[in-house]
Amino acid sequence: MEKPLDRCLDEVFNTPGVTGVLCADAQGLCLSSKGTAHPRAAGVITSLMKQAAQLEPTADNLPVLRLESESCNILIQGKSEITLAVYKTPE
Amino acid sequence: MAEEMKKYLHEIMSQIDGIHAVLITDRDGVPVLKAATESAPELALRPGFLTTVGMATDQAGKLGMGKSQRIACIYGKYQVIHFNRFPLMVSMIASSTANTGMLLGLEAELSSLVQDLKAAVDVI
Amino acid sequence: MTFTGTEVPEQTGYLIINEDGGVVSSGGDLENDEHAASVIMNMLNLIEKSTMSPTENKEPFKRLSIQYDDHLYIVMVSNKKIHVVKRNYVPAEPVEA
Repeated sequence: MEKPLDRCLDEVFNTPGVTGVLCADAQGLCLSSKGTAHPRAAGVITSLMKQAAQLEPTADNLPVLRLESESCNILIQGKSEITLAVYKTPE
Repeated sequence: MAEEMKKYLHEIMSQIDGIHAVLITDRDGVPVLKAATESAPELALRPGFLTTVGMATDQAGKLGMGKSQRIACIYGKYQVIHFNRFPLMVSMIASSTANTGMLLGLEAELSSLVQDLKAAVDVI
Repeated sequence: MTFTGTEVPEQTGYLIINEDGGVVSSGGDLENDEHAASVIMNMLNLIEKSTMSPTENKEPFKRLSIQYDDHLYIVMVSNKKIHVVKRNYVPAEPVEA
């Protein structure tokens, strides 16, 4: 049942520079995760996206969040019920 | 001391939107420590309700996948999350729209508090 | 050097928030925007306590960007204050060979 999702995440995960990928549902539960992305992070990722949506409630699209730290950048975007997080090494 | 623990629980509760109550009980549902807001449904705070989870946990342990660690039940208006910390049980009651992932993540934050209570209960 | 809020190119607004969430100074689009300040504070609190970090030692984050189609917010913490800059986003044109 989750094969199409897994295939999609594999494609992202195999992109150069990507160290982890995580897909979470609207309740903050992890649908699938690969690499350095820990399933526990699903709750926080969804929560962050929900908060960010309140920054500009009238905007057409949800924003893309980018969390930068020394060794890793985490990109987060949500669309309808799903939130996706990609862990990348900084360029 | 119980007051401080209750305060700590309330602080943890304020981190997540929609949490109504956090209870640490024994297997019979008797509360050891309880922190609840006014919006907590009264019936869910009673031992009669909480003890059913102890039974569910025991039954779940017979499914052949080892001991049950966490149970999450999502109802229409509420969700109830339980952590099995034998002989204690941690139960969290929240609105069904609360972030289940974050609630499950609270296990780590509550773990040191539960350890202390466990030590106290074991002595009795 | 005091932050006057004009250093960043294409900037349309700025906010400086202290640790308690109070707005220290603001300007442009974000002038007196308590709502934005509180949303951003909530997000930073989530990140601080998060289990998201892939590394064993939870390294502090450097910068948070919130990017929309044509503008973005950049959030950094420096000197116990939270600096927020809002600026227009102009995607780089692909270079014609």
